[in-house]
Amino acid sequence: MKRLNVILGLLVMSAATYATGTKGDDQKITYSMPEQVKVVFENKCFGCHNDEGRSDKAKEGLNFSTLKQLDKFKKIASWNEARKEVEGAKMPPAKLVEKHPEAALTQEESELLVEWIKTETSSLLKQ
Amino acid sequence: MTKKTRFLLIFFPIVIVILQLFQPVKNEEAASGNHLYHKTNVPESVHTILDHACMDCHSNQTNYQWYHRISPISWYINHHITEGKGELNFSEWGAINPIDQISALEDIRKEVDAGKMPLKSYQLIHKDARLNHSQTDSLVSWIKNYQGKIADEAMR
Repeated sequence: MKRLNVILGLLVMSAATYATGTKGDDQKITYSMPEQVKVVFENKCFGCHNDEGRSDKAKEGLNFSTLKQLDKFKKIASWNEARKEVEGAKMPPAKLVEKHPEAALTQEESELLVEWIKTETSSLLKQ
Repeated sequence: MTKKTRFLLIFFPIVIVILQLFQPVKNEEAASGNHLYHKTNVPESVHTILDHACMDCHSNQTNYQWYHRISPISWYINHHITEGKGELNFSEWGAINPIDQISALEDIRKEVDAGKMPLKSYQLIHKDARLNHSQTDSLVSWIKNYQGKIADEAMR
């Protein structure tokens, strides 16, 4: 009976983790940015664009796990690339959105990301 | 000689001759003030690398070989030029904003580092486009240097 309780407990915990989409750590993205921008990146981009992501191509393009440590020119290039992808509606990938419509960026989210990236790259340029 | 072989022997040259009547527009504009070389002082070693390994497809000034004028090779080459210029055109460098310039330079570094550029098919024909380690190094250090310069100028 005790064993069953443990298993049940684990099940509930993993279900809760799955529902909130976190693995216990509150901060996925350590790069400094406004909270509302971070929420969008964490919910819609972080899943593939971090060290644990399954696709190497995604990590090569943009990796939130290492972004903070890059020099300013690599940061500018990474962010600028991300802006182009979002602006051109190439990200999140159409294939993913087809399977998981909730993964798509809304018009507002997309504009928010693009505007923030523009501000961020200009301020990086002047640092 | 079968009927079929004879037919092909006559027909094939005719097709090749007719193909010569259709040629893509040549990528041979005069260099404008927006060309990279007019925007910054590129060191001689890097200038040579860019000329030999990049500019044929990434500028409005292709250095054509005689066989590039033969169709269908001309169309094949033209396709590469159009694609290359779509990604990056050094002839219009001056019209690009500083952030995009820095990103483009970063892309160049990545592509060359990963051995994706210059294209293998291009290197096969153009021996000068095969970059050795010291050439790659000088290209990469120029890129870092130039990115710094672009940022400095943006601050002014």
